Amino acid sequence: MSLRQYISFTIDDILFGLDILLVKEINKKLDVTPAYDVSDFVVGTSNLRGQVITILDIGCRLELQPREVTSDSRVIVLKSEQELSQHHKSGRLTEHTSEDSVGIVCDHIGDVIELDDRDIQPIPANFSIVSAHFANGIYQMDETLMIMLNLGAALAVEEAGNATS
Amino acid sequence: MDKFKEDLLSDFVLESREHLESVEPNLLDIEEHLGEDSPVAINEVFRAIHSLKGSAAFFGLNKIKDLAHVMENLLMKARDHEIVLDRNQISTLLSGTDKLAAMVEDLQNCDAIDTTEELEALQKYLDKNPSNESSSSDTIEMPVNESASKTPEAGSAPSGSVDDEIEALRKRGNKFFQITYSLGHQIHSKSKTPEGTLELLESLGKVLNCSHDLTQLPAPGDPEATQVNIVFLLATVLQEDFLYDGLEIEQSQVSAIDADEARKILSSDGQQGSSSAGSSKASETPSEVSVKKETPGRPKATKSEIRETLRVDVKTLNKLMDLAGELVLNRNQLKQVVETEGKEINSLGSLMQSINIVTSELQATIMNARLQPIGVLFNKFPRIIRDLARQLDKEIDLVIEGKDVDMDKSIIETLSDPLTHLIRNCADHAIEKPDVRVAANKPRRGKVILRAYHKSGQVYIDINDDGAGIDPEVIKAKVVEKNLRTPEQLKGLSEQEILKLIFLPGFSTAQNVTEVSGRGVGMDVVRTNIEKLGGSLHLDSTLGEGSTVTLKLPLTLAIIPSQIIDAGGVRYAIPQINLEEMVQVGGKNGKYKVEVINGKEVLRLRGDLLPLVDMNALLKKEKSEFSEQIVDDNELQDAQVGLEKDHAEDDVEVAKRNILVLSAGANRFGLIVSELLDSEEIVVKPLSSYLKACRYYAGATILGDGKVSMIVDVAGLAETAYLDFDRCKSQENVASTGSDTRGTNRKEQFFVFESGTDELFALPLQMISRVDKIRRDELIVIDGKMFFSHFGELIRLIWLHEFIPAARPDESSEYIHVILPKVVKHTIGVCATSIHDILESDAELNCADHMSRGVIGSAMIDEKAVVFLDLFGLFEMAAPELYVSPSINDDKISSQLLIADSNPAHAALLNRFCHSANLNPRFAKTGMEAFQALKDGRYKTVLTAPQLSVLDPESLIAQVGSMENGDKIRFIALTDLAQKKEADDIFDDRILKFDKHRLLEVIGAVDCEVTEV
Repeated sequence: MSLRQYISFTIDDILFGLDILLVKEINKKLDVTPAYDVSDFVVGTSNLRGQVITILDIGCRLELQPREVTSDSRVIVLKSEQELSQHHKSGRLTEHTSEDSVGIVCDHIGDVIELDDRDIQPIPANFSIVSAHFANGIYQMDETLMIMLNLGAALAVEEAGNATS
Repeated sequence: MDKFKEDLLSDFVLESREHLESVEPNLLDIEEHLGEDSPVAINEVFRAIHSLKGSAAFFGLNKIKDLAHVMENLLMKARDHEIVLDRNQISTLLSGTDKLAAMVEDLQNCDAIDTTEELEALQKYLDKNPSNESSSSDTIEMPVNESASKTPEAGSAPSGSVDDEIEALRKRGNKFFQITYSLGHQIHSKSKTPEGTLELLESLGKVLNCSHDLTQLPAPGDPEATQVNIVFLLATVLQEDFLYDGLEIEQSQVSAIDADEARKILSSDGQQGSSSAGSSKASETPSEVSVKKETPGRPKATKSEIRETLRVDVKTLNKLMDLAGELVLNRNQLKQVVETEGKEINSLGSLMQSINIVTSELQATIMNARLQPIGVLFNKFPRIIRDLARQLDKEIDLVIEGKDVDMDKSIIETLSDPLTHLIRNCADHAIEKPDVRVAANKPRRGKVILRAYHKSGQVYIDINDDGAGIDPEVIKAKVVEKNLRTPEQLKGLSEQEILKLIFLPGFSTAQNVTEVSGRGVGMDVVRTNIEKLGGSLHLDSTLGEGSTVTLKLPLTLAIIPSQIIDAGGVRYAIPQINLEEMVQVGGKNGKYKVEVINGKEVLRLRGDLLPLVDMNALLKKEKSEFSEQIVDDNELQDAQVGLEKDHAEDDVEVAKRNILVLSAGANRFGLIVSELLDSEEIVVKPLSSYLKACRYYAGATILGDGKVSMIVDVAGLAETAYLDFDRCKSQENVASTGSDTRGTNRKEQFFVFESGTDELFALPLQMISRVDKIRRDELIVIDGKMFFSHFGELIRLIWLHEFIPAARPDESSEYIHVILPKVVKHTIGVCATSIHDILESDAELNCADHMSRGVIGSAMIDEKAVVFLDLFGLFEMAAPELYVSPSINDDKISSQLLIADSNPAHAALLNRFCHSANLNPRFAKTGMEAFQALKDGRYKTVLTAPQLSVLDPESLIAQVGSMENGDKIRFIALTDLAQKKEADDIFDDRILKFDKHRLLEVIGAVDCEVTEV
């Protein structure tokens, strides 16, 4: 029995879960400088204590509506691959993020919940909320489903131009 | 332990790299002084290879060890004067070094690298030079004995001063250990050899002594072997614990001793003469102190060469940079708080100040830490030149200067490819074969000079060769052949402009594409790379004498001065290096006009047509509001022109817009922005991979208020700007036929001002030294003349209407402008009521209607009538006593004088000068006209502008020189102030364009000389 902590958040009222080890911090107010001439996936850039981080709208990858960044939005700043290397080496994590420092925009941050690996079920064949490619599994929480996000796939750079196609 | 080993390995790689880097220049040095004795260089190479071998053996990297070992053997023979290295041997050593480097860089797969060729070749050399002991065992002893006394680093005097050596070692942090091996149990049984053991020990420190002569030990299997205990005395900086692991020995075998004991052992053993194995090799103590490389062939005092350095990960440096940047931000915020709220606390001000200073200094220091001497890069070129020279059968010397010029690490890295290409070009295309050179009266050996130096805050790199030079005709032919330009386009281009064509994509001049360079991706790639770095490059070439490429580069990429702008509410940073000027269009006094050609907005700026890009619209992919307005605005403006001027001013103001004129390479364009903000030094942060897809961003930065701003990629914007523009431009050219044959060179700048109410007057800008604004009540009237005090000196002032027909100025204004001329002997200021502008013009002057003194003529510039003034004429009227015009009453001089000037206004002014001195020279409007006139042999003196249309002065002089009696003709350049140098070489004399006095003097003087001859 191995327990892990997951952070829950919503995008377009869909509940997602993310291993807390992947998260560096959660920010309320980040001043985002918009970026143009790139896909909607890239919202812009922001200053995180002297470091320029890229703010991504992961919803675009998941074929949801593009997000307006409002004062209610939250940004989950993720650890970069480099920062995760310790965890990867020790085998505590198999999830991947991005080589760059990125933050993802979400509508609402929920609780941190503790789950056993066995609680997470594989994706059913008729799963259609988001592309199965971006989910590692699901967890039945009370009335709702929590989708365990496959960040490595969702953040992949190569597809930046044609993610939604 | 794993991690430990990993660290050690990466240290090994770093160290080996350093060793190998020192090998190449030394080998080349030996080759250069072939046949001479170069003990220092050979020693250096030997030492480097030897320590590499030692460390490789320690890590069990046998392939490296073996190759190094054979190389070492050959070097040792050379050092001991048993052989003298020849070219082939050096070549093999060099390629061996390459293999070693390759293996060191890729330790995982180093076994896969094939070294047989080198090994065989080296072995052949060794066999060819048999010496009495050529087995491998002597390699241990030989170096040991020799280098102790030869190497300057050894820190020890020859035998006898054991004390000093011990002391020196102790001071450098060495500890002393006695390490005991039982020959039978701990060496033979582990299938090792005593020699191998010694090598292993030497890789860790310095073996001072050994109890036995290693060559006379019992062989493995010999029962005596178990009785023999070999005791080594080792000096090392390593901790005792490490020795157990490093040497794979038991704790009991090692005993730590202090310096005194070591000394005792050494001195007693030394007398027995058995210290052969121990008297140590060079200074290969694996300490953190690295020794700065010596210049080959020039041994220096060793002690001053040592400087403390520490290897720091670049990532750590970058992190420090980020933090320092953040500190600056926080300081700025703190400063604001202190200024508004900290007044009650007394000491806060001074505290703030010192934090201020420390922060700035901290940032600057961290910046400097990223700088590296460019020598790191330059050092690889001697080898390249050498290899190319051999390959191409040429003889080339490479001279390198300015190795210690520091530049940002990232620039040096990016510079590697373009610079290599340029150097290869020199060797391959520029330098001729020796016999060709001799035939051309040049020294047999070609010379390439690579020089780096600082100039005005930038780093310049010159690559100069004394080769064949570049033939403009060849370039022209090539360009036409490859359809890059049409012959028509090439007409009238100056030599410099033709040379620039080399940088066109798809251009390669090599007659034959060789394997060395020239694959059609020549200079344009070099240029693109240099420009990516924010640098520029310039090519100069004289046919038959050689070429010089000059690179101009910024010191660092990490901090760049830039202009912050606002476009649609988002701020961007634009590198200053790309920014040429800022203009405002629209508004009440807007002088520049935006036009729409073929649906594209263009800016007409002093005769040039620039494409415009609306930053906001481009990025947000919206339709530019701007372009919609242009048409309306232009209609509005046109309407205004029709109105009375007074009324027009009351009319609705045309919206103002800011345009930045930017350049990227040869492309210039205008960028429409909403607002101009500060100019700031920004710290460049790399773009994340998610943003690389965008063509318009070059990086990001954090502005003073902590917000992120994108750095604009001007080259990317330029491409967009020129997408449709070339088409527009060609249409425009068809429309205004003949406009480019007139060229832009002859355009002259004029200072335009108002004296009365509406009339505009012009003076050549070059004649004006300064313009002051003074209050009317500062004027002093003495004897009916006006003066004002300029730094304690009284300067006479005149109004134009006093001498020429002009309107009287309005006396009510509080301020007047005073124009102070230069190149006159007695300064007289000209008063103006307002300054209009500086205009460029090559308009034809109407002189016929203005024959009054003080006026040259009039012309229409930008649809306004402008009267061109003759300053000397004015001054002659104002102060006849000071400006008596020298007159030359000599028809001969007059009839022998030819003036060539393509600018009508100038010509008119010169005519006026001559006229007042009773001279009546012939005027030529073009170089060709001058040439035709000179053919009849009447003219002895030619005054020429530095630029002429149709035939430039240089070609004119060249052509005249080949005429009969052509060498008797004097050419005098009428230069601008800024052009002094250029004019010096080909002209017999030069004078400033508007120095009337000297002009007349020179005509007289020069002519006298001619008549004397």
